[in-house]
Amino acid sequence: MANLRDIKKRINSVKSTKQITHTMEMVSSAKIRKATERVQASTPYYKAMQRMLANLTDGVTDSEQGLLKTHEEVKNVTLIVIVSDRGLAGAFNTSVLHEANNLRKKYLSEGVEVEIIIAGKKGIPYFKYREVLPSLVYSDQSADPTIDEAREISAHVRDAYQKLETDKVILLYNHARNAADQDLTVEQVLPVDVDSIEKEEKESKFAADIEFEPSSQAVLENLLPDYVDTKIYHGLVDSAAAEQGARRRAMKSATDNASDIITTLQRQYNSARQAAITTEINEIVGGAAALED
Amino acid sequence: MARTLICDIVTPEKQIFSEEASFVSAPSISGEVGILPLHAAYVSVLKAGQVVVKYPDEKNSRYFAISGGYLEVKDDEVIILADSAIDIEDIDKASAEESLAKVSECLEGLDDKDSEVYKMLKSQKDFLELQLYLTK
Repeated sequence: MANLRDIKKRINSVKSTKQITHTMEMVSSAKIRKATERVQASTPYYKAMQRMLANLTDGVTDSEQGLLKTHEEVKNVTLIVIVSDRGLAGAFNTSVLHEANNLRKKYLSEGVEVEIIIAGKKGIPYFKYREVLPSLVYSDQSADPTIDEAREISAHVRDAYQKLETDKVILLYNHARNAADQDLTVEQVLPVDVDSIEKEEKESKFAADIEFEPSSQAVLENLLPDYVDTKIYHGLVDSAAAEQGARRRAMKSATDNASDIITTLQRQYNSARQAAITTEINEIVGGAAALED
Repeated sequence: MARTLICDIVTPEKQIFSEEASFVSAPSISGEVGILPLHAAYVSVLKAGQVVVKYPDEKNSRYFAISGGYLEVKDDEVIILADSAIDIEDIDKASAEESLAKVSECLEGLDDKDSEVYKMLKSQKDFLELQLYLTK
């Protein structure tokens, strides 16, 4: 019976799909550990830098420092969108890209020009389809971000900010809350938002007693660009960890779905086989009865 | 037991070192600084050079090459935020020489001496030269 063969074929195809998604799930699980370790390894530096910056800017209200100064009129905004190079990670990329697009539309409706920087291959077709030309694209590093990549992006936006080509820089990425959950995060990179740091890291008790060499201004001038580098790097590694988490989750539910389909198909197959056997017996019995007459 | 310091050396990528020490010296941009326990709260910018960490036993020391960064001292805690850092014993001379040749070659191909790429390569080159110098 053709029907039986068809069902068997489908079962086999779903089975091999399940094998693939299951393998991807295992691979992601293994990668999560490495990615999370990297986030943890980069955190002490980031935290120490935040603390230093908070201490330095304590009391500085409106600094002349280019990266700290808010531009009076916001005419150009730069969005740094961090996504992954590979798909099959559930809503991981779409959520970031949708948010980026919504922000872009919001700014455009206010008459603000928007520049887009993409880190991760999956952002390219999304904006190409919407006929948006990103000014910078970094790809093939989403799973393995390096500080050099972050420094390049950072150098670009710092340059643009100081030349008044952009008035605000915003970073969009998925934050890995834990191995399974991701939070869409939107952070302002430039002008450096000191208030948000101070809330978490402020230790004002010591701020006044710290000696700076050569001077607090000079340290600040050095520190700000590095802080921007670090912030972007932190976004990249965080997103890499979130990517693996999202993929494991997506692949786990794909594997579970495949198992369900296989169960259903197996039942169909069994009942079809039983029907075929019954028909055959009926025919034999019928045939024998006909011969006896 | 005499007072000791906690010394951390961290780079953006990872924590290189975190142990007790009796003395730490680092290359600040205005000269070498040495930190002993009970030092006042202090922040400084570092240039490329050598960091020395003396263990509390006063006999053994560890040496690190750093390519610049920051030094923060507070409550007997010394944090060195380095752009990049390597334990001098871990420097692989052959591979450092090889990368140095590569970086120098790239540098010669660049004309724009103000560009960020040039600055980045230049600091890489300086760091590699420093590593080779310190392993001599």
